[in-house]
Parts: sequence; structure tokens; C-alpha cells
Amino acid sequence: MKQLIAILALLLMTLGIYAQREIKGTVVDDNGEPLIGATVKANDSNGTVTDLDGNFKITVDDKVKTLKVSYIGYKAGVIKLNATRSQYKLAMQLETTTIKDVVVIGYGAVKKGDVTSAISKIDGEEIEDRPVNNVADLLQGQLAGVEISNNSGTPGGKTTINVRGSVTLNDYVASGDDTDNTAPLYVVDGVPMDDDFDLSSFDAHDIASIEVLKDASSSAIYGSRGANGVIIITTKQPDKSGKFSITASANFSLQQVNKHIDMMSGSDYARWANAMANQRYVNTYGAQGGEADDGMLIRSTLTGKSNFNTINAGTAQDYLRDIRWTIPGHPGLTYIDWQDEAYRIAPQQQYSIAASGSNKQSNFRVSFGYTKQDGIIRGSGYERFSGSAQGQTKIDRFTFGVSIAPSLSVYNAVGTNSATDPINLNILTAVPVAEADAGVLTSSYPYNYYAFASDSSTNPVVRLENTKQERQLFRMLSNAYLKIDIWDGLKAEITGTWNMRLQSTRNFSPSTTKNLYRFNADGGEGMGTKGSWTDKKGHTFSLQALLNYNNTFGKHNVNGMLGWSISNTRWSDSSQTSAEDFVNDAVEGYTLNSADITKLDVAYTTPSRMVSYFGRGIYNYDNRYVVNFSLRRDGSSRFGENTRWATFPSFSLGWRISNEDFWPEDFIVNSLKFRMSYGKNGRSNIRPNAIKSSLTTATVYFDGVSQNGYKLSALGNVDLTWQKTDSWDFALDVGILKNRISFAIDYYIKHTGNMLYQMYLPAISGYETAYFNIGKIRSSGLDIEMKTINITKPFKWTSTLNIGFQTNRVLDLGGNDRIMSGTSAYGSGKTQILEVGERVGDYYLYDYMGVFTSQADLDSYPHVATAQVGGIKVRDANGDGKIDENDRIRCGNPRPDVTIGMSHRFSWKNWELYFLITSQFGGKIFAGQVGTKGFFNHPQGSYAGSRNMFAEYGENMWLSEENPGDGQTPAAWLTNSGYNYGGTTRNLYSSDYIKLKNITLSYKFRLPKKGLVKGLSVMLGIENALQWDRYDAGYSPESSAIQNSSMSAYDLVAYPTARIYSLGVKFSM
Amino acid sequence: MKYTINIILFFSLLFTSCSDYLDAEMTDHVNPQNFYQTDAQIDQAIVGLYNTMMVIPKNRWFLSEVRSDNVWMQQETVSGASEICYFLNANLVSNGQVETAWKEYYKIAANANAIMEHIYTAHFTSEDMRDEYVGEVRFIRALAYFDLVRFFGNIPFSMTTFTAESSFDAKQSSAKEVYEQLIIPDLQCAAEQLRETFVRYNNKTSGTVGRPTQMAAKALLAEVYVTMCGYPLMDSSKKELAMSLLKEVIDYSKANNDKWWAKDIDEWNKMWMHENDNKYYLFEIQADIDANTSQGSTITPYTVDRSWNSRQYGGNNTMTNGNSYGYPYVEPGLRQYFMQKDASGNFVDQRAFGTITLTQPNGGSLSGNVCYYQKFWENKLKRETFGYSDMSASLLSKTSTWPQNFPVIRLENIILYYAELLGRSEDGISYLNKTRTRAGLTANRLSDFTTDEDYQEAVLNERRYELAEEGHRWFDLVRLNKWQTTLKNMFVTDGPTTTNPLLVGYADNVLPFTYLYPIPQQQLQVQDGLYHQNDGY
Repeated sequence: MKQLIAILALLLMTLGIYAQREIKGTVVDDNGEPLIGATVKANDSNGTVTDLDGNFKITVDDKVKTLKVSYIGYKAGVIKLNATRSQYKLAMQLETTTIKDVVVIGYGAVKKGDVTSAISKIDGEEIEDRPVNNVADLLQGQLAGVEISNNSGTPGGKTTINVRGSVTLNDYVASGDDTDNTAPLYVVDGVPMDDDFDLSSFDAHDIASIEVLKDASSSAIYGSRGANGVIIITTKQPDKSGKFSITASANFSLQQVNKHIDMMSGSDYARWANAMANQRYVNTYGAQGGEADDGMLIRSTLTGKSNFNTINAGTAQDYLRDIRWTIPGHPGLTYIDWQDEAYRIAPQQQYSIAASGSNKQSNFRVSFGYTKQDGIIRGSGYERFSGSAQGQTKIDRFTFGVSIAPSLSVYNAVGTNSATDPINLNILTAVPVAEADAGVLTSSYPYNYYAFASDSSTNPVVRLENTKQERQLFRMLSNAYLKIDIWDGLKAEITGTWNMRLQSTRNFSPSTTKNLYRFNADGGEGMGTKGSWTDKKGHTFSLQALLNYNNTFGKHNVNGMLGWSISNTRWSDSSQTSAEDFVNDAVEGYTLNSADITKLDVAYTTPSRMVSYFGRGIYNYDNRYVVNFSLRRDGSSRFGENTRWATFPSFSLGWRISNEDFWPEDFIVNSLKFRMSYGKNGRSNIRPNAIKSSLTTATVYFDGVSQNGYKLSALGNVDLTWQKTDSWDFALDVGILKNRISFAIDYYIKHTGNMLYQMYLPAISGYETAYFNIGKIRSSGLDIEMKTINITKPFKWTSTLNIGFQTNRVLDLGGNDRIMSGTSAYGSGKTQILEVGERVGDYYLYDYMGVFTSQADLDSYPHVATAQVGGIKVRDANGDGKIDENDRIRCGNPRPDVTIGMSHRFSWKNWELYFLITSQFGGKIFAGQVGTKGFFNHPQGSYAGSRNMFAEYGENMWLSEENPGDGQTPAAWLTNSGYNYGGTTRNLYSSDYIKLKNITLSYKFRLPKKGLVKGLSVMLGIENALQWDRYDAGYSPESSAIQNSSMSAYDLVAYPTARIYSLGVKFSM
Repeated sequence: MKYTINIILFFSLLFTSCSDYLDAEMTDHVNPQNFYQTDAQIDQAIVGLYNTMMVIPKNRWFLSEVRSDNVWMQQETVSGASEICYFLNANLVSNGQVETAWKEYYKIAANANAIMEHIYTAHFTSEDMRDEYVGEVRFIRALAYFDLVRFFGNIPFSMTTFTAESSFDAKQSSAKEVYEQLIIPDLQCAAEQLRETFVRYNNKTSGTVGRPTQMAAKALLAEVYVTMCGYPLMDSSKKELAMSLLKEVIDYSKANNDKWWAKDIDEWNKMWMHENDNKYYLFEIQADIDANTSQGSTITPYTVDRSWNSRQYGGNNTMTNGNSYGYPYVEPGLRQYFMQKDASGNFVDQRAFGTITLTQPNGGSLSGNVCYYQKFWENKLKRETFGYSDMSASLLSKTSTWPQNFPVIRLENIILYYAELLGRSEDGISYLNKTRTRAGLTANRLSDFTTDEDYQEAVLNERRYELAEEGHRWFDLVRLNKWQTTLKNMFVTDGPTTTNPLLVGYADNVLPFTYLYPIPQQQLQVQDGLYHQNDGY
């Protein structure tokens, strides 16, 4: 039937016969150069191409009024024919603006005006000049409703991205295998990436644009994976202008730590330690006649400890003082500011080069980038080699293309990623006094630690210099595709993708970095050395097929898409070897006969597979009404047979009110669009094998003979199914004064339910936890994005402002009223709470009131049995006369209420000046380091004096009833200064900040139009220029020891973010 | 057009269903659904079951020894051991050691249940082998529940496995029900189906040592009966059953050349060296010194001061240490008992150096109250004293360097139970004297005891000296309903020897309900109303 219609149509076309005439013309490009091979068509059956000089000749009949000219990379041109004229010239316009005029949506793109959902977009050009390695960092402050936290300044470190306050319950159980459940889905050039993907392997210069699909109507097309928002990265495509071009850039910068935490100096430490040892001595032995000025001999007799001045004296030092502390000038001792020793001004260099070219049929782009960043902490650094190559060729209706993007990242980060022993904690708390001959080598080979500090902590500088923690990550994204223009607006596309990751981690710690216990051991050098090597590899294969139809019939524009995809991920097969006691410190490799192999392990992962069907229809009437409907059906191997399939629908509506006839032409509001959307998303973020139970290996030695066996390890739940989110979005897009001011306001509300949550099981099951689908959370918020053109000529000033407000509520916790969650503070329980009716993950802590300054004070206020004078006093919040777990109070949320980004761009002649300001308000950060073992004011006797502490603590500490300090700072030296010393509001800080994130001044040279060099500019910039915040306990209020976007804000003195001064140059030809 | 249709056809081919494709096989772990199929696999599952038992020594240390008057916490710490030692009852609800113990014992039971569920359908090459394995698994399950029921009283019990959902259905039972319905039948079965020595059929000769025997099952059953006779069940009907089993075990030992009996004090002291593992105990928890795995004894690291063990063992600080559990000293009264010397300067009770530290392990003198248990701590000095060479330093620097097995059932325990049940009589005293005379103490005579109480007191004390650090003391005190007087007395007597006057006050914490531990808060919170808390907590 269809064939019949086609034949009829063809017949009809040839019916009419008209008079003929010859038309001549020339087609040139925007520079006046002839375009060779441009297609000139009168109609479907009559056309020609231009010759070497750009000339064409065509014979047309009188009925033809226009000629259509097309050329790859240029906008379609039209020659209007005049009955009296036969010679024409057409200058074609480059299609350079394409990427700016369209918005990439899932599996397709639409014109900006037709967007009906909440999508934020940023062009690569806007961010590529900044001296920052991780593209994710560059997005901070650029997108409303997209919260980006720079949790640590670790070179090459990961940055968490959270779209519209994504939140799920599983973040709140330390499960080990799913660390960031609120990470968005990344889609690179139309191909969804796996859960593990992050942006750090990308060079910003290769990115053309980044779109963030924030609402469910846009992200539902990614169905099960779009619940946390979708970030679409479009890489730079080949230049299709028919010319060969090269762009290159270089950037050199210096980084510097932007904060110095005020710790006690060496002399302050000596003074304080002296006072403390005396006080403790008097407190404990005063009854037996001990006095503060007793010498070593008397103290020795009284305490019964004879080994004062030796290492490992246990608690002897608690009552001891170094006689030199009281001698002016502290002879024989040296002071060390460990921050000065460990931090440095570090260089960074970044280079990128890209070449692109095309001819009529084919085009290509290749690029290479190199980055080397030395960390501001000694010994740390990051290096990245990244490349990409893509090419496509068009033959008739077929376009075939391949692209490959390998990158190699090398991370050197000693202790900087450690959640339990972060290097910064070591740097800050190392005792600032050492024997003069040991100096900065104190507590490392061949020197003892400073004996009077009764501490054996590792020397941070030696640890940084001598320890190796190197991670190499090789990642490759590759794909090949075939696109077919089937018929008038109907296109098909098949893409095959192979992504791989190889990671190898290498650790070595020589015996020089160990404390003295090691040197005393029988083994000598090499004894206690530890090394490990871990290799991980992963692959994802996927295949995706799309059918796209796009056509306009008068005022009706129709767009339809049907697709299918299948993927298989096997993401972290690994092998690991560990050994210790190498022959000596110089041998790092595995000479197996000379070291004890402590671990040889190979682990496989269960593959994760998915099959999806999806489709979408967009109908646009007269650029006034737009309707969008999509449906996706996903099946995942992570769920059981009966529950693995789910359907995710969405719809959205747009009404361009300003395109209506009644809209006054010259009205001050020149454009107005209302849009709304609804969509359903899913999430399957559980271990690939969570539905199945498993056994793990277990060894037993029967009479010294090793036997291997298996024991129960995880309990599966076959009824598990998708976590689902329903979301609504209502928005207005407004343009005022011919778009001098344009803004978009989006209100959203979403309900996330059926969350995949690891619940505790009764122990009788034999297991700790199992996954269930439980709970419901509502999140809502408001995103405002605004762009203004303040002044145009001759001086130009444009600004952007984006603001995101967000909040949430727990609606249901699967039958529980409350669940304690988050990270445990030292000496007390978990610091956060989930409670029905409240915000997710509020801090839940004891209300700090100060210290018990006297016995009378202690006697008159409720306290725990172990409380002592000088110890922590917390509020009896429920007034029941005793202090227990029920006295904790809700005291703020880690997530900010509002995040703001603002930028200004001033240009004048060849100059341009850019500012970016970011800020957040309303959140809290828990300083986990305060009260951590051995830090600052840890009130457990055995650590007192063994580490350095805040200068202010030394000044203000309670020493005795006569000398109570400021009443707020507990005695560091009490054996037990009370209940839950870690989990109090004392350690909770506001995370509000305002930051001048970037200033860039650039100069663009005016170059002759015909010259070889097309562009040359230089830039001067400062990143993280200024910051105002209220977080004194650590380096940055954005810090988090937990790389998990919805909990975050539990600091353990994360690696400081550097201030970066940079000089860059950019060149193109 | 045809061409278009072809392309569409091609695409529609891609859209075919792929449900099989989504059945991803689990490749990273062994799946229980296809395990437990053969005798070899059951054997491996039993090895796994033994692995879960390795924590028993640790749990008996914290929940029995530390709780009793054998251990004196010199220093208060907020966490762990001192809460148990000082009867900080409000804190015990969320005490980590208590919670962990609960979970670990149930893990043993659940692993046993998983095996029991498949053992009758698995393919066995020999039915005898199946019978023996059934006896073994049930023996271990009974052992786990026996500790659970003594520590927690009202507990849920099960002889089957659970799904995630159904584990919320198991309700608590009374202690009596647990004994009658699970522990006794399991041990009766074990006593019947286990052999005189463990026979392993699976074509291997290794791995038979260290597994339960018929006598071990009978001895454990006897201990269960002895316990049921005492507080709180006071089921005197079990006394006869207990006595006949105890007698049977003792007679068996005699008939077999005094099996399990160390003939003199020198041999007794050497019994606590890993070289003599699997020679003296009826059943023991296996431990080994191995460079690559953590297979060491779980009790030792908690009993010793960190600075001491590091000096003796090449300086490993990574392991859990005594320090953070608050200086677990030998209770001063018990220390004084062991420190007594006769006129010629010899220890009155020659078990002293096998049991506690009399000097610092590097030879230095002790000061104040400092004194640790060293029955399960083979330090250099102790090994030297008893004529053993030093262990390899490189092995000792590993994370788990405690190679000694831990006795669950020892002949001396059986003998002293028997002496207790026989009561004040010549016969009873003859059994009581067996361990006393070997230790160099003078033999008791019937005339030494004027009342039954005197006699029972002497047996109880002898049990304390002979079995110190082995996790029996707390059970004995509860069983004989003496924990309140004994523990109150400990705080009142020992408190003043410290600088912390609060410690005396802890006597008030020893309340009638404290013979049990609370059900761990975390388990109560798994689901509201699932379990009811033990009275008093």
C-alpha cells in the first residue's frame, strides 16, 4: 500500500511541464572563499553541485522560485529567483551556533524554545579556561538546583554532584558497596555510563556542552537510572566547515594552601604540657603529698613508675614533665610547625591540543591533553594524560563514525583519601616539639619520638615523603555508530559501546615511617615494611538502537523516537597481593622470597545486565503548544524474576504564551513560557547480587592444619524491586526587554519511595542486614536561573545568577519511627537521625553546655556516672534529671537550604574580566576531627599531651577549680571527662560560606582575518580567591570525609582546597 | 521503499525479549542454593561453622570472666569491658561486647541450621559419616545456645533457617524451653552419634583432631544438667542425670590411661603452651599461629596490656589491645592468693605462674595492682620458664599471634562438678583433692569442713583457682546464686585500693536481675515489639 502511494506521488511530480531557463551562480563562505561541492537544488529531481571555483549552472523551469543550497557545516541557504536575473551569488553562514541553539535531551535534541522540562545547560567554553582539573568542580555555582561539593582538595579527587537534593535511605547505612547512591547518571555523547563513572577523567577542553536533566520528565527516558538526575556531556565534534583547524592551550599555575589552622606552637605546647602534667600529678598524687614542683625523683617514688624517660613508659608521662620546659629558651628542644613543613607552594601545568578537519564526506577530530598537578601537601600529586579521536564518514544515506577516548590518571596521595587516618589529622596533631638533634625527623628512623609527648604517632612529613600510595586509573570510552537517513525525517541509529577501566593501586610503607616500636623489633630494617598491589578491571558493553522521526507539516511539528538498549557491566574484578617485612626499605617490588606474602586474593563480580525499551513523542503546534510524552520499560538483572521489570512514564506540557496572537508585540515581557512536567524514575542501586544469598570462605586450623570452608555471609531478598521516584515540576521561562533579562523559575516536588535500604535483621537469621524496599521521602525546592545583559556598548557587562532552595521530609521509614544514622563520633554513637516527619539526616547530638567547672557545679547538675570536674557538661534536654541517649537534640542538617552561584562578565575592547561567586547557607558541618582519638581535646587520659591541639584550647582549658579556663573547654587530661564527648554540639559548625571562586582576566588579540593564526588570547586567573566562612575547626565548610552527596558534611580535616594563581594562553588556527 | 522496510525489519529483530539474559549468574560468591550438595561440601560448611566458633573465647572473657570477680578493671573507660565489669546496667543495653556476643552466637547457630537443613538430602558416600556429622553440628549448635541462654535467659531459638522476612517471626522462649527443646535433644543426639574419636571419612586424614567426640558431648550434656540444677531453673531432677554422665566421663578417662590428665604440676603448666594443643581438653576452640591469616586465639589480645604485649611480641600495635578495654587486671584478692609463698619461697599454689603474671614479662617488677592473666598468653618469659624456645619474631609481629587453643571442656571441670554434686563426703573430697594436690596444696580432709556450705565454698574456690580465665566463674556464681554477695563484696573490698572512690559505689549496681544481660538494644530496635527486654533493664 505504502509503495503504491509513493509511486503515485512520483507520477504526480512529473506531470506538469513548464518553460525552462538557465541560472548561474557562485556560492562562497562567510570569508568570501568559494565553496566547492555545495549542493544546489531546485527540487528533489533537479540539482547540481558547485565546481572548483564555487560556481554552478542549473536549468530550471519558470515555476521554480527558489534554489536551496546546502553544505555540511553551514546553514541551509536559499537563493530567491528573480524572473529577470540569471546570475546570483550566495554567501553561506557557518552553522557555528548550532550547539547553542539546541538543548540535548535524552536520545535526541530539541530547540531551546521547545524545551518543556527542567534542563540546565552550560557551554564548554565558559569553563575551559579555568585551572581546575575536575570538570565537576568547574560546574559549581553554574547550575541552579545542582549542588556541587568540593569535599576535598586532594589532587584528582572526586567531587560530589547532587541534583535537586537527591536523597535516598541507603546512604544512611554503611554498606560498603554502594557509597554514593545519589550520584546522577552520566551520559556521554548519547551513551549512558555505569555507576562508577565520574567526570575527573575528562579534559574540559574536549567538552562542548553539559546539560543537566533535573526533572523526571526529561530524565524518565533514562528510566531506572535517571532518578538522581542526568548529566549529559556532549564532547566537541569535528569542525564541519571543510577546513583544517588546530586549537591549543597552555596553562601554568601555582597553588597555595589558603588557610593556616591555629595550632599550639612549640613553646605554647611546652608551657601547656608542663601545666597539665603538674596538674594531673597533683590531682592524682596530691593526697599522698605530691606537689607541682616536685622533681623527677619524688614523682618517680610516688607514682611507682621508674621508667619515666624511656619509650613505652605507658602512662608514666602523664605525670611527668620535661625539665627543659621550665628552663628559659627550652634548650635542646626544637619547635616544629608541621603545617609549614607539610604544605608547600605547588605548581600545576595543563596543556591541550586539538585538531579537526573535514571534507564533504568525512570529518575527524583528535585531541590530546596533559595535566600535571603537584599537591599543596608534600608528596601528593595528580597527573593525567587524556586523548580522544573521533571520525565519521557519510556515504549516501549512511553515516558511520567511531570515537575513542582513553585517559590515564595517576594519583599520588599519601593518606589523603583515608577516612580513618587522614594525613591532615596527622599534620595538625603531630607534637610541635622535638629533640633538637632529631628535628623534623623526630619519630622516624633513626630518631625516637619525643619521649615526653608519650606519643608514637607517625611523623607526617616522613610519612608523606617515604610512603608510596599511587593509583593509576586507565579509562577508555569507545563507541562506533551507524546512522541512516531512511526517509524524509526518519532516521535510524545503532551505537555499540565498550567502556573499560583498569586500575592499579600500589602502596608501600618503609620502616622509616614507623614509630619506634618497629626499630626495637628483632627484624631491623625492612621489619614492618608493608606493601600492597591491587589491580581492578571492569568492562561495560552496550548496544543501543534508535529510530527518530522529525517532520513539520505546516504548523504541526512532530518528533518521535523509539529505542532499545542492552548492556552488560562487569565492573570490578580484582586481584590483590600484600606483603610485609621486605628485605630492606629500598626493595619495594615483590621478591616473594624476601617478603612475607600476607594476602593473595582474586575477586570476581557478578555481572549487572539491563534491557530497556523506550519511546517518546513530541508534538509542537505553531511554536505555541508543546506536548511531550515518554515511556520506558527496564529490566534489570539485579532483581528477581518477578520483580525485575518496571515501567517509567512521563509527560510534559509547554505553552509559549508570548507566541499567542494576543501577546502585544512590543510588550516589555517579550517572551513567556509556562511549562509543567510529571515523570517517574527508578533506581536499582544495590549490589548486583543482592537478591541472592551467598557464602564466604572461612578457614580453620585443626591442630595446626589449615582447612578451608564456607560460612554464611549475605542474605538475599528475591522480592526486591525498583526504588521509584515520582516528580512534578512547574516552571516559567521569562524574557524581558528583548531578552536583556531572562530567567527561569522551577518549582519541584518529588516523592521517592520503595527505597532500597539495608535494614538490620534479627541476629537469629545469622545475618546482620538485608535489603528491603521501604520508606518514603518527599523533597521539594525552587530553582531560579537568571541571565542579564546589563550594559552592551562599548563596555559590555553580563551577569548570571542561580539560586537553588531545597528541603525534604521523611514520610515513612518502613514501620520504624526513627533510625540513627551517619558516622559515629568518637566516644559516642551515630551523629545523625532519620525520623518520620523530619528532614533526612538531621544532626542529633548532645547539647554542649561547657564544662563542670567545680565539684559544686558537678553535684548540682545531672551528669553521667563517669563525669568528672573539668569534663563535659551536656544539657539535660528532656529534663528527667539524668543524662542519657534521650537527651540528644536535633540540631541542624548537613545539607544547605540554599546554594547560590553568581557570575559577572565585563568586556571592553580586547579585554574581558570574569568573576564567579558561590555560596551556601543553612547547613551544618560536623567536625569529626575534634574529639577524634588523640586530637585537640580528646578527653581520654592516655592521649593527653600526646598530640597537638588548637592553640585556643591550650589557652582556655580547665585545669583546676582555681584555674577553670573559659568554662567552655574541657580538660584534655582527665581519664574520663564524661559521656559522649565526641557527639556534642560543640563540634557542630555552620557550613555557610561565600566564596569568590574565580577571577579571570583575559586579553584577546585582534588578528588579521586572512592570517594563519585565527585566535590568540592570554588569561590571568585566581581560583578560590577569597572565602568567608564560619568553620574554624578545619579547612573548608565543604569538606567531607564521606564521599556521599546526601550525607556529606562529616569532616575529618579533609585535604584543603588550594588557592590557584594561573597564567594561560590559548591559540587557534 | 523496500530498503526502508528492510531497515525497519532489522531493527525490530533487535527488539526481541531477553529474559534469560537478565538471569545473571552470581560469579563472585558461592551461592547456598547450589552448595551443601555433597559430603565434601557439607564438610566445608562444617569448617565454616568452626570458623564462626572462634569468637567463643573472646565472648567468654568479656561476658563471663570480666563480669565475674576474676577480673578487676583498673581503669574506667566508657566503652566495652568496664561497663560489664562495673555493672553499669543502663549502658549495658547498648554495650558493644554484649551486642556482638549475641550476634556471634546466633551466627554459629544459623550456620549450623543451614547445614542441618541440607545434611539429610546431600549426597554422602557413607551413612556413618552423615550420622557423625549430624552429631557434630548439633553439638556445636547446642554449645552456642547453651552460652546464649546462660547470658541472656529469654531468647528466640530456631532449628531452621530464615528468609529476610521470616526472621522477624521468631519470638522469645523461656530458658527452660530452650534447654528442653533444643540443647538437650541436640546433645543427646551428639552423644549417640559421635564416636570415641572423630573419624573423618572424606578420604582425608587431616582435620580430625579438634572435633567433638562422644565423651565431649556427654561432658557438655552433664554441664547443661549441672547448670539446670542451679539458679534460676533449680531443676533438681537433672542432678542424677548429671552425676551419671560426669561419672562416665571420669571413668572413661581412668580406663584410658588417665586420658586428658596432666600428671604433675609441671605438665599442668606446660598444658598452656600451643605445643600441647589437643592433648588435654575434651573439646577446645582451635587457634593457630599463621603469618597470613587471623586465626589466633580471640581471648588473648583483650587480656593483656598493650605496651606489654608489644614489647614481647615484636611490636604489633594494630591489634585490639588491653589498654582500650581498661586494664583488665587479675582481681586483687585472687592475685594475693596466687602470690602466697611458703617459708622456702615457693608458691603455695604452683599453678600461679601458669595462670597470672608474677613479674613483668621482661623481668621487671610489678607495682600496685598490676597483674594480668597469662594462661593464654605465651610470652617469652613464660615460655622460657617452662623450657620452651622463643617463637619466631616475624610470626609474632603479625596481627594475630596467639596460637593457643581455648578449652571449652576440660577434665578438671568435670571432676570438680562431680566433687560438687557428691557433696561433703569422703568421695567428694577425694575428687576435690585431685586438682589441689597436683597444684602442691595440702589435701583436704573431711574434718576440715564443719558444714556443707564450707565444703561447697571450698569446691567453688578450687574451681576458681583451677579454671581461672576459662570463662566458668560467672556461670558458677550465678548457678550457685552467689553472684550478688560475691560481686558486691568485690567492689567494697577492692574499691579502696584504687584512687577512684566511685568504684566502691558500684556494689549498688549488683542487683537481683543482673544475673542476665539485657537483650541488646540494637536487636530490640530491629522491629518494635519483636522482643521484650529482660526484667530490670
